[in-house]
Amino acid sequence: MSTTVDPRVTDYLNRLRERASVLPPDEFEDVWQSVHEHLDEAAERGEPIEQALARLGSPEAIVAAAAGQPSAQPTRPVQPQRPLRGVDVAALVLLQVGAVVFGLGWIAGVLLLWVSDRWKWWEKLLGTLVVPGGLSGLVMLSGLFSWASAGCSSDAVTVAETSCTATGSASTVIGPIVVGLLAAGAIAVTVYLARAARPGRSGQPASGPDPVERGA
Amino acid sequence: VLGLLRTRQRYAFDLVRELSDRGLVASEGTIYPLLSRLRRDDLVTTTWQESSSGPMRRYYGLTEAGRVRLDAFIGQWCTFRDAVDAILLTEGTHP
Repeated sequence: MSTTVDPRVTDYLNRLRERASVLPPDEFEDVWQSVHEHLDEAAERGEPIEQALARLGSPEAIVAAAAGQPSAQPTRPVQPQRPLRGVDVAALVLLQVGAVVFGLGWIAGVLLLWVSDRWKWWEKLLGTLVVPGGLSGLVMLSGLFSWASAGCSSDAVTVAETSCTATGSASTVIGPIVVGLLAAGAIAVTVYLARAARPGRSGQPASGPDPVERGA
Repeated sequence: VLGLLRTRQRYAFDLVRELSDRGLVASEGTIYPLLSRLRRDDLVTTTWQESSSGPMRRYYGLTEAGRVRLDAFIGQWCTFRDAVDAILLTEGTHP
């Protein structure tokens, strides 16, 4: 170690010590010691102090580089965020129940889904196609089924008993199963979209992670 | 960094200077956190060696795991480089 230490070096190392205190202790010690040795070596080689410090970069940049790397021993686990905003929740709700408003609510839900930055394109496609009209659409569809089968069985008594009993029983059995499967699919997709929503560019700074986690 | 350590151990200061002189980093100080992480991940080792003048010097060298990682990277890098070259050369001949 050099015996005469330039005050600018002392000042730099103090600032680094201060900024780097957010790092895990062993990493802090390692980095601080390395930079210290680096400056000693630069002084030993007769390099101007300003030049050596300028080449090193600011203590803040060094700490940011340390914090931005995934550490082998993270100080705390990075929790996945649940970055759903009101407008995203509205999209998911409208997709499922919006169809009661002459189908317009569902279309609004699709629009909100596609303009949101919370989902990937294929997730949006999934939300749109499973299922068009959403749960409320399915409820209306099943209403249609029961109306059709009810109409058929009343016909069956008077007109074409044998043939219509066959179609009637088929629709009363298969109809609810299909509707049930579609409803389960719609619910599963909604739950998936709610969980898969990731922080978008607009949502990052407001409730973003602290500097240590950012970029990790 | 691993590439520079491929054939021999290097003194920390010289390693950082070489990366900087080759234009691979904007500020030299940011390499030290990287070296620290590589050491904790057991990809490089540090050894202390006497210098002719002054204090002990910290030298970095590849571990076996570091060598394996470097070889894997070299393979990926060559594939990537060839693919980009092919695209640029093809596109270049058909403006």
